[in-house]
Amino acid sequence: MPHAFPPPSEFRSMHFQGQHRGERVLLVLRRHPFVFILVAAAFVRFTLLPIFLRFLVPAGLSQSLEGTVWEVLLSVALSLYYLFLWLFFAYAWVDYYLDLWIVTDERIVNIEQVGLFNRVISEQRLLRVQDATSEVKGLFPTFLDYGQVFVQTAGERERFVFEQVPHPDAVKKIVILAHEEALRRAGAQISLSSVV
Amino acid sequence: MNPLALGALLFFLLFLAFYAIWSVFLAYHLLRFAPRRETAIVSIILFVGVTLFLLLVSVAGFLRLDWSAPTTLPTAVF
Repeated sequence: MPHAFPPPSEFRSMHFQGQHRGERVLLVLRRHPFVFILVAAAFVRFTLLPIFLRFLVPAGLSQSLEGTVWEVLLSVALSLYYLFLWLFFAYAWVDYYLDLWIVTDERIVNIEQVGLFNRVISEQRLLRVQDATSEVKGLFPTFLDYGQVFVQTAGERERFVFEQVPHPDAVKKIVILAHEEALRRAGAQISLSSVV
Repeated sequence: MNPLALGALLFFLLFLAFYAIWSVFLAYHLLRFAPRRETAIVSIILFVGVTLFLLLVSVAGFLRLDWSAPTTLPTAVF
């Protein structure tokens, strides 16, 4: 994770849909992987649940189900349960993976996948950034160093929130440095145009 | 075939159709919006692989069942 400006080469070579010509990618952020691990752990629990329940059923009852239509219905229900669980897990992965925050040398882009048929993309120019704050709250976030970064802007959308991102303090510093660099470049362009 | 069993089978097939449609949507979204195409392709292959495994296990289980079994109430023996 970069702690200084400019960022390492891993982001410089990345491109995203809608990127301007000459625009440099500084950061591409996703939620910390531990956030998805917690979701995966919940799915593992649901996967093991029928096995656990099987041991709670009296042996006599399960034997009396054999050879009846209830055994068929139970098998079909179990198959449906696991297929649905897997489909839902895949959806949770897509939802996690397609949520992105991109910081370039020109703007901040927030790409949020809300459900499967709703994709919200908002952006704000770095020149309009007013303030950036990082927040780390909780036991796991503290030990794993992930949290929120709040970017206050002067645009229609007043605040961008980078949720559960790794190294929020470093991200905050990079946003501020990128904003200052953008201001410096804008000042230089104004000086140049006034001379011309 | 027992009517209840037939109903369950039809419901299962209906769910499979819904599953297939939803899987196509998931794959489409991944391929279209994923920043790295390789990750999207690996995710799709993994998803399809596990789905096929689950279907294989389900069908193997279904083939061992008696779909004409009577609708008798189970009697718990303790």
